[in-house]
Amino acid sequence: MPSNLAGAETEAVGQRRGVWQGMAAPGLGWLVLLFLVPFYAILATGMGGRDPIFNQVQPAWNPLDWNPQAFIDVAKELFGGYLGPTAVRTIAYVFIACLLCILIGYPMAYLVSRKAGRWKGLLLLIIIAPFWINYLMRMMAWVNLLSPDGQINKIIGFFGVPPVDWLAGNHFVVIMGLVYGYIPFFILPLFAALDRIDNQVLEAARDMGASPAQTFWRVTVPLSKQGILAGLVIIALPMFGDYYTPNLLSGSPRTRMIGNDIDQLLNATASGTGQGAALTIYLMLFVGVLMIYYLVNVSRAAKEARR
Amino acid sequence: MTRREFVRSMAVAGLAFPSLSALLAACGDGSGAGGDAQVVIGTPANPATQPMVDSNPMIADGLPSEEGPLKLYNWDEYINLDMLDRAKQELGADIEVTTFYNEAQAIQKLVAGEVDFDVWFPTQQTVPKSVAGQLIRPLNHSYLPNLANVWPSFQSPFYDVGSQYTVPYVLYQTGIAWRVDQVDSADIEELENPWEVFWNTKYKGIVGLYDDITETLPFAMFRDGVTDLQDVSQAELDAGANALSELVGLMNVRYSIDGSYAGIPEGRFGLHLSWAGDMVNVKYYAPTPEDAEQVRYLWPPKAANNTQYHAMMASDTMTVLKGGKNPVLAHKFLNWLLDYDNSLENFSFVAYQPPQAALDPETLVADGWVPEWLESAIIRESDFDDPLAVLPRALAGEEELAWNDAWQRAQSGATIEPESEE
Amino acid sequence: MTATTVQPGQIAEGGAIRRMRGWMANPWGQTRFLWVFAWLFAIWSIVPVALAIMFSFNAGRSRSTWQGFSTRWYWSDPRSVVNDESLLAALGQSLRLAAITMLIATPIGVALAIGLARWRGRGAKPAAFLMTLPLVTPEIVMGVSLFLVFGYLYDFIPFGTPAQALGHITFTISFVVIIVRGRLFAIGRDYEEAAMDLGASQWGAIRRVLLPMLSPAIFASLAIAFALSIDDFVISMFLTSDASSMTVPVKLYSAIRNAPPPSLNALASIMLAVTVLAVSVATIVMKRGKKRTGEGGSAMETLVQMEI
Repeated sequence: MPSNLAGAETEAVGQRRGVWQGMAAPGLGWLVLLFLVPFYAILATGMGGRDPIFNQVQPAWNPLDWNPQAFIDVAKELFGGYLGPTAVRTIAYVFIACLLCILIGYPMAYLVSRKAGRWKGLLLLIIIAPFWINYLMRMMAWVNLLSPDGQINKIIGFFGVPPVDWLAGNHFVVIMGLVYGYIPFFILPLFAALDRIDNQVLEAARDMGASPAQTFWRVTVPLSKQGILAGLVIIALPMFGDYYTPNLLSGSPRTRMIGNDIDQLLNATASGTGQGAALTIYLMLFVGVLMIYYLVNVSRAAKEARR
Repeated sequence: MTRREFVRSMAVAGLAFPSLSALLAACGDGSGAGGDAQVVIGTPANPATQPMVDSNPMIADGLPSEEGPLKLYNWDEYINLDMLDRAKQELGADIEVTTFYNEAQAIQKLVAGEVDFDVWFPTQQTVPKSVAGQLIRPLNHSYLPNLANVWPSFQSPFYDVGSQYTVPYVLYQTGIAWRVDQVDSADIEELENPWEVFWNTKYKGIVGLYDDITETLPFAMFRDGVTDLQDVSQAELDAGANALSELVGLMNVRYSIDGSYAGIPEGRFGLHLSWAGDMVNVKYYAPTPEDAEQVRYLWPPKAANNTQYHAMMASDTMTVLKGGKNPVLAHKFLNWLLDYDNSLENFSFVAYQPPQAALDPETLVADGWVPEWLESAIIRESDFDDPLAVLPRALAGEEELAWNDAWQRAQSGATIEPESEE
Repeated sequence: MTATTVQPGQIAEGGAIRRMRGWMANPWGQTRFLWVFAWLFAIWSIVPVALAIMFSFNAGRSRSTWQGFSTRWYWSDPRSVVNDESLLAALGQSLRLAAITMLIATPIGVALAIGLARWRGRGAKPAAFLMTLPLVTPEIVMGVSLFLVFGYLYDFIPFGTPAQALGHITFTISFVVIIVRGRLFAIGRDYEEAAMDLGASQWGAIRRVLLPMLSPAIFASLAIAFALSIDDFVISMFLTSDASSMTVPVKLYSAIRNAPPPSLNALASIMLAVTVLAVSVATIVMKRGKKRTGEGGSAMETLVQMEI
């Protein structure tokens, strides 16, 4: 309790001098100018018109000039149109990839943080290594491996299996690519969370009669929950906007993700910019739901941490 | 970013917020896409003279070159970089090359007006709107004596009579490439409609198409028997898009840009829509000489039994951008590249044939430019007279929107309902 | 790694599922399953990239068929990294942006994290919410938004390095904040308060107590900011102006689709080497710092302590 009182005083001092607001100001100002305003630009674009020559978008900055046609068109396509299957596929891909990241990433993070002993350094290095290698280089590596005359087909050919065309719209390959690409970003925060768990806490649990399994499920896992959540948010959100992984590892419409449609609308056809912007806004609204879930959890954890 | 700049940004934003539309108005003027300008689209039957306007004058005769660096805006792998070293010396200025993935992206950047490229290599389909939107500058022919080197038909092409804004770059025909170890040549060469091979389920999984609306949508329409791109109905467009959608499930089709010149020799594809120039490039990308020997090419109008299914051929162009800082140098560079020897050196890398009158197509095999089994990839001026040859259609306005919409659906594998009319 | 000998039949009968079940029942005991799993993971993780690096030394033009050892794609070939100006320029641009991003995003992010963690009252919650928004924003959204805003509204900021740097910093700041914030919560406020009880000013407490304690998180932030920037391609691509502002990822992306020669593998390998060098330097610096403060554990561990 005394520490709480002292905290209140400090707070009052900091508040009065505006120290904390002052420290936050540059970052917040930056985000207003270079995140919020640009975000408004997407909205203005989605609500905008087109120039008559190039069919290039002309953003409607003034809300009075807004024309929601692009939003209506895209909504129609999302629910019952050509965008519907892509949207469902994207959600499925991200869900499965996240699940695989947990199944692969948790044991890895757990082993390295608590069991690795003298191998800890090396295993950490292995986990971190892909983190420092460019994402596109890693995808390029898989394109080579999975090409018809690539190493994978040579290996399975050795066992008499006929060559498989992996890069021809294979769902498994694209999901594998997503997992491969994003899993380091999942493991690292999880590793940090697991590594931080005090051994004494676990010993205390066991002293109180918990079996090793109970200790693991009742203590270790809950204590690492924030790490899992953080890792999942870090990987799931960029995955929803990914288009280069399916492009590079498949290029087939069968593995198209919503990011491909946004990319296509914005880059491949000049006239689609408005619809691309509208689709982008819908995607933002969708991931916003996930974000709120994450925020609720984080703020709960933050409150506990402050206590 | 220093604090000073940060403060400056804050100040600007403070001003910007209440006057967004005023700012936009300013931006709109700068983009050059004025509302009154007309897009003039020529067709082979009705060639068009592109309009000249006072606000976009050509440069005067006899000006000295600027200092450079000359900035080129081009497709990837579409100019010989080694050759440019010599161009730098001979033109006395540095040259920079920036690449774009496709034209929509290129136009987006150019219209936004924040780039200052000097020379651009657009397709002829893009020329009319680039003129109307004043992206490109009228050419002063006094700097371009070498234009006389190209085929006569290209000295005054239908899309730009008098070559007022463009000079030709290199030629292409859009045909079919395949590997004989994966595809039976008879399944293509002996068909009445060679395009049908892309719907032959024997070849499911090895089929590729260009990720390019101006090639792939016409391809599907040619297969359906469309004979003229200058007058395409909505029904034909929808049918073409549906035919492409069908390929997604039926053939597991993949879209790529490199699938022909690299994917075919590497074995990633067995069958691909293909520009003739991609075939000449095959030898550079084949992992082994044997792979290169597997590759064949056919431009459907040349198929023995084909009497009615059309295919496209055209030339890309070279233009001088209005937003560039080195217009004189740009003119000189265009002229330099129209020189016979220089364009041949470029051909040796780019592998797309320049329409140089002095270049005899009949000697290309003997001189080692093209392997004999890909002799079919050589383009002759007489090919333009083939009754099955189709020239591309420049797109703009509502027509472009309809094409884009069809393309978007085709790529998703979605089918357009015929009755979905508004 | 394990002292126990495995009966041959045990493996045949057991299989991965039983091992998995065994591990779930007793995660503290049996770690053999984990070890097999770990080494499989290591192979999966490393081998593709190792092959990509290997093929940068291919004597031929192929990237999947080995045609002998050569360094031509680094030095001698006309299209090697050294001779192809566009590749060299891309490398330079990537490093320049990563350095700028790291140096600007980290201080801004650290200050924002401290401010947000301590600031109470009106405005704090919306501010925290704003900070988290860039995290949920798929890169493609940011790329588009920045392209539009630099194109139509902030047209005094040219495309190319200035726009790219601003974009990279924007999406990096929030990552720095969450890294530092985790550490802030772990530290709590007791140390600062103790310092202030002993007469330190608010700023003094921050500078003398908080920042040194945050140093592992700050180093992690620098490293992550560098990695995020150098890995980015969507935003770089939307905001390029001309050849001079093409980064390595932009070059890679456009080239993977255009059948690159192995010089691209060489370019990526060089960038990897540079990154590893930078990380190693950071690691050594941190190790020294730790020795001084007498903390245990390897610096590499601290580096990845992204406490969130």
